[in-house]
Amino acid sequence: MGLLTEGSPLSWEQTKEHADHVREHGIIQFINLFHRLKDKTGDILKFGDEVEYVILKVDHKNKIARLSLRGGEILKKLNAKEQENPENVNSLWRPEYAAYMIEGTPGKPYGGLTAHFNIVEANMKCRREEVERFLEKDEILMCLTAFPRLGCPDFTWPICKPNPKDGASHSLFFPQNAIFQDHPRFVTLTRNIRKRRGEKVAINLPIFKDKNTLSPFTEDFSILGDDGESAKAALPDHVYLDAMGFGMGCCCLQLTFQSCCIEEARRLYDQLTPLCPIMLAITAASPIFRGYLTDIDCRWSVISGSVDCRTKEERGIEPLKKNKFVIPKSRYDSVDSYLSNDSSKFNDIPLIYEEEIYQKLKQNNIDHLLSQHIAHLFIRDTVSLFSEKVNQNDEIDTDHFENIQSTNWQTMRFKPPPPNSNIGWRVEFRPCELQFSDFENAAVVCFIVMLTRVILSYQLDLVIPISKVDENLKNAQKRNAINTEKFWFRKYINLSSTMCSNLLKDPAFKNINFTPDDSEPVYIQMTINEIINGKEGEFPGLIPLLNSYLFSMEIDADTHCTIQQYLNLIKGKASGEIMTTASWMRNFVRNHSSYKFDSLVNDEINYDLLMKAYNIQTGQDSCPELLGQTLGKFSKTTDNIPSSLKKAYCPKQSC
Amino acid sequence: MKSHKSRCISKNTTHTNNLMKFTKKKKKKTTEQIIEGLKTCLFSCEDFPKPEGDSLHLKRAILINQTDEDKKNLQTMIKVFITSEDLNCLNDALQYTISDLELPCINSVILSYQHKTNETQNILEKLLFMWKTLEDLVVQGLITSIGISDVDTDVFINLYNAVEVKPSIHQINLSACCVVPPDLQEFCKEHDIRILTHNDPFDILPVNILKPLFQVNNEKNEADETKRFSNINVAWVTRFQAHIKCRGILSNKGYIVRLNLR
Repeated sequence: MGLLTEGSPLSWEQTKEHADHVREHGIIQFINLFHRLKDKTGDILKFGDEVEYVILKVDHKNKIARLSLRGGEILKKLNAKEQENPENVNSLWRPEYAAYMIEGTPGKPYGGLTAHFNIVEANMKCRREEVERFLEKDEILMCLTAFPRLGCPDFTWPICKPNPKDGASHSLFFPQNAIFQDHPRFVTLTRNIRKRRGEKVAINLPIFKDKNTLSPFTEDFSILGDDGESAKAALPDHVYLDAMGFGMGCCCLQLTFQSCCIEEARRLYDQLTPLCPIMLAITAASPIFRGYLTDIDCRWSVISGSVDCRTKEERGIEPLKKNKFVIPKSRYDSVDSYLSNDSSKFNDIPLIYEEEIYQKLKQNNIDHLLSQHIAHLFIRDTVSLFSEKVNQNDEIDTDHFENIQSTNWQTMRFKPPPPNSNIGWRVEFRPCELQFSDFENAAVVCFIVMLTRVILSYQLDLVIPISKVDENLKNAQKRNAINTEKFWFRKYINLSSTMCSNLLKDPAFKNINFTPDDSEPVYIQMTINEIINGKEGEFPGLIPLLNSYLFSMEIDADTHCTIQQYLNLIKGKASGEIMTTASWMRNFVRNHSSYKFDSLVNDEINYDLLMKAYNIQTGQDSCPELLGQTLGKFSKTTDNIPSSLKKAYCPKQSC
Repeated sequence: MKSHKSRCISKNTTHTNNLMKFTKKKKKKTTEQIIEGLKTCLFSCEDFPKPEGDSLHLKRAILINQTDEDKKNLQTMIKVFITSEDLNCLNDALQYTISDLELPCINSVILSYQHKTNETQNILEKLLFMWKTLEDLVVQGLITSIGISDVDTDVFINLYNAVEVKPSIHQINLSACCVVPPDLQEFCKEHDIRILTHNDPFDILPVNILKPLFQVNNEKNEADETKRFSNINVAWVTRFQAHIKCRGILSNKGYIVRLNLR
């Protein structure tokens, strides 16, 4: 979840005093690193995924599944192996916000051979097994975007009570001990975000109105110790959440890839931005919060609200007095501007930044688009500062820059090379929700990385106005958006490329006009099915484009077999033949014998749902309605790339 | 075979692509691509390609994503589709395509020998005969590795054991990529052979699809030209493709077709 610095955190009051100091030096650090690294080129493709896992403690006798707070303990054991032999581990493990979470990444990034798409799933499987060795009796490891009964009474193991008066979040539902305790960052962030905001965070999710749901649906929070703040903040007919843990305690699937140079990174940042809402809708996996079925399918608005540190002035509720700006979005939200010249004409929402900071960047020979991007990130105050890190050498250190960069949690992240490494310019893709199985998660990762290759090979242009991407992101979270919503998407995907028009002579894309009349907008509204699978005579579809690319590459049989399974999954989700995880969960609840059609997901439903999901993950249940027809244990995914392929395609062992 | 200059490269070139196919209906994508390419070539050239002697070369290609830096990092492959075991024909196909690409060395060449279905008995013999040509090009340093497509496991193993320059690629149809025979898999693993996929029909450019193309086009041409094209047949087809090493970026793809006009 961002930079982890060892040391002692400053109090909010001290942190606040240093806000301008961090900003000033963060900008200088960026200027220095930019000029040091802007010409770095020739980097090959490398990519990696980040999967967040939850540890469950299951009481089979009473049919209760709880979140086990042993993340820190397990992490110590996992990290011991890494410390012994950092160069030669299959996976790396890092703490996450909640004590029941851990984050795993591959030990080394995957490389740029097509065969690397065949090792992602095997690595995920291996990662899971590494953790499972350290689990206790009745503990299981799961990929779960949002634990359905998060914030319900006694949802943790050991059972902890919320601390509405003295905890970092003052939550009525989320206990202090459910926050990861072995590193001070998480508690500090929680406290500082609440303090900066001036009140508890407040998230209201529309409740899913079933036939017996209370109407209007309201709850009495006084019995939980509410002093009136929650009663005021909660909206009728909504599920109310009041803590950072409801968002940052969710898990997600992120991927980062290295570009060959800064220009390519900027381009891919732009090109993937319009895909964020689409992938969010496809991977939707969180319809239940605090034990209630909601009318949304995704975590995004929850996590956005959960770290919304804007004051009332900044949210536009009170006139500006102490603060500088009214800020339209939380620091966890969709990106606000494109970074490359070709896309800049689609930067159509006002970008807020301090003129002085922007000018400083410009004066130091950073171009307009990057200057405004960085200046915009730097409207945020630091919300976590460590005493040891206040004074830095701006020539070498980048902590102050990273401090602000890593607490701007946006759909995409543009990442400069880290200091003292041979890593290149990178882009992080952050919207996706987690699926239950390694197969599905690997499919999502490979799909996106392959798409970046198609975009670069065919010089596709998928960019649409940022305001339309924002509109899409809102719609993507709605219940069953994948099958019911329409999304703005670029119809003419080759405007700036001569190459692409040639592609269209491919008989597969017959009758599709890729160059518009002058009067016609380049983007239209399409269903996800049309975007992914194509629409005859209108839009080629991302999967047909991908297939066209794949068939022009040298791909080994096992990898091609695996890729086909992945594409079938995405294809099936988009066409509605296969359910999203969110629809499947909603469906499971509504068909459960103890569900009373009152939106309530009780302990028994929760237990049965999670046990079923666990069996899907282990492969014990094949669940074609969620996964489609899969190869199951006959999957060709493998731990290592065959030596014949290594010898042929990367003799220097560079990839 | 002296017709190296008789290519037709239109200014508005085409990137022809294949589509992975899962159904029978779509099985002819490669053919369609070549035909589409030929059509564009025949109809968009300012001058109709002039045959030289008895042959006509048609090329559809694009060059994309190639900076000078990229050129040093290309991974290139030629697949040659051939119906006759005539060594001159194979040699012509490869020499022509290699020189056309203007690269000092091609990473891999795959031989697709499209024998008649009743010929299976002598297939190994014929392949061994043709293999010599490929080996020569490897010895000359024009090709790094050679492979073969769509042969039975025993034919492949026998070929492997009989030849001097060993095949390092076995190309199979995409539809079989999830069900590679275990004995083939084991053999390939043991000998560092790549099993790669393709999506090409058995007969890549059937004459009955090709001929009408020329009849239509010839309405624009003189009568004696029409006559020349009445007996057209395919000598060979090559597909070339290149990607940038370790970046997964497709850089070049196209086809060259040589037609005989006898």
